[in-house]
Amino acid sequence: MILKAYVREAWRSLIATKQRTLLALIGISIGIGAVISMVAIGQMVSNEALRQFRSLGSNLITLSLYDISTQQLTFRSTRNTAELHQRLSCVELSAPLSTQGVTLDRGMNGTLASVSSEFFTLTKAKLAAGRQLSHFDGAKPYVVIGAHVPELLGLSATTNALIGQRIKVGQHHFTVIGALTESPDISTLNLSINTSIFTTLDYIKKRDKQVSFHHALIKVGENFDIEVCERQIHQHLYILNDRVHVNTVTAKQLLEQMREQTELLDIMLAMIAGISLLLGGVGIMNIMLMSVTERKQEIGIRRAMGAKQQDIRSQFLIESICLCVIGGVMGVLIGVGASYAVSSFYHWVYLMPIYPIVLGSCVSILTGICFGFIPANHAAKLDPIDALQCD
Amino acid sequence: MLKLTNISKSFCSGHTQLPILNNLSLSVAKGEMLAVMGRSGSGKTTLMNIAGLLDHPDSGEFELNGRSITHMPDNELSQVRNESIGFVFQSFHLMPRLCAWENVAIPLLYRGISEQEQKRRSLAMLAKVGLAERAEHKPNALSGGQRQRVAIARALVGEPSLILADEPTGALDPQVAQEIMELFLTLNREERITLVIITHDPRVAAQCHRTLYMQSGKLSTEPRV
Repeated sequence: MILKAYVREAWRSLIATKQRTLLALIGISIGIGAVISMVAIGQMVSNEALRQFRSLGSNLITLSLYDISTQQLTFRSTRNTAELHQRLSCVELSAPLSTQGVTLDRGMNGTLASVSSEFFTLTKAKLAAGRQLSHFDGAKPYVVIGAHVPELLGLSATTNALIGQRIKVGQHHFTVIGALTESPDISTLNLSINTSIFTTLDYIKKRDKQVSFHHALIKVGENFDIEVCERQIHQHLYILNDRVHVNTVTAKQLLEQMREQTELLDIMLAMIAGISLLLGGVGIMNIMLMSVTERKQEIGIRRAMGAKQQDIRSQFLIESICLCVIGGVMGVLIGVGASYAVSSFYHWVYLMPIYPIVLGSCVSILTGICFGFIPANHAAKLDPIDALQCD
Repeated sequence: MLKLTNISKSFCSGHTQLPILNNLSLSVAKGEMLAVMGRSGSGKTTLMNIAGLLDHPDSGEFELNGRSITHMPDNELSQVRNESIGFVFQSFHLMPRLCAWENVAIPLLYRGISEQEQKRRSLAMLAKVGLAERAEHKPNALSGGQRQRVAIARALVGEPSLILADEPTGALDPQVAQEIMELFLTLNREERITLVIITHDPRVAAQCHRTLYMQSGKLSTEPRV
């Protein structure tokens, strides 16, 4: 009962000094906001990494070749990478590919990728209609298109009606034989499956002598250690051709990259959280001390009416907690907003788990107690006569 | 009922000790209405603070309702104040943010009784002082006399055995002051409430049962000329 009365009292006194209250709350709300977005961003990064794992599998290596001499070498390298699974026992599947940016009819940007049929197996890209590319397609101008390609080409036909259509991509004319469902991006290759047009390796080799097959997706056999296999690939390719620089990326490394990417953000947010909570807390303490000074007479009256020191202490502590809870609510809004902004900046799936909000609220209440205690204690220890006589 | 024996109190002013109360003794019977008069600075307010358990005497014994409270800890003193003493101040000392009945309810707040009960008793007390229809008004919407009535209701709501009034009519014009005095007289007559009124208005003192004069730290029955 008395608690309810204190909360009502606190609310009235805070309302009576609206402007001051709001200013005092800036620090604390930024602090709480930083705490919430820090946790939420961490969650989103893990979720993103998990998504990558799920879509590609943790046993996938992305291989990139940086050739330092002629195209012939690159061409040879393609064969080398394609044959990796025959040469090394740890490699189960190997799918070389090349990608090039193309401008589509309506000025939209897409990617033309030439792949072997294993590519679809490895990336688990599913067909919505038609069929996949096969070895038997040879150098025929057949393509399988990503889920967003019809849109980019300005085709409004249903997926099934796309099959058999002829499309123009750059200087190439293709026949669509299959269309894919929505698939996640392959960030190790920086490849968006949804906006890509896939044709065969042979077609590109025949039509474009300049083409180079920089990349390969490699699946490591189930019983093999991925890092050992990675080393074997490096050794094997070095023996075959020491003039090609080989770079490999595993899912684990990708995860670490993402962690690194957000580590700086994490440190910054933690610092902002710490500093603004401290400053916010000092602000709260300051405003509470002002409030105690202004209401000295009220304290004297309450003491004369029989309030114990503990009653006065509770009243001001509750006021300070109320203040911080309002700051906490503002902080939750800031945190949710900031996390959303960061997630859309990095194109992550937006996540707002409940526990950082709970954590933020707890932190705000704790700040209220910590920084409200000194003013509340000061109020409680006032001499009732001095307090009464003060005008 | 209230019994002060050999109370002394002095204040430090620089290096010198200024004696305010000097071996003062006072006894107030139940149902009595006592006026204490004296010049400004004669120690009337200090006496009231000590009698109201807000200040500690340097020496002397204090008894209230037969209970010695000379060496009580702060918490118990608060409780005794809450249950046994009601204050009425010259400048009312109402809380501006609270409406009339909420102001009246303050002593009840510290007894941990339910809000409905607080409101019920406060409203009943406001009705007794003739302010039933002003219960929801804030102090700044009330006249001086009405504010003092609210303060009196607040002093009475906890059913204390003693009311201490420090210049209760000092801030009011004579007609309103007389109304307040009549309220005191009625309460004393009908409810047998014990009242100690500190005043320097002889008209107020004249209406009390007994008048004591504060002189050089002591109380005497005759004013010294």
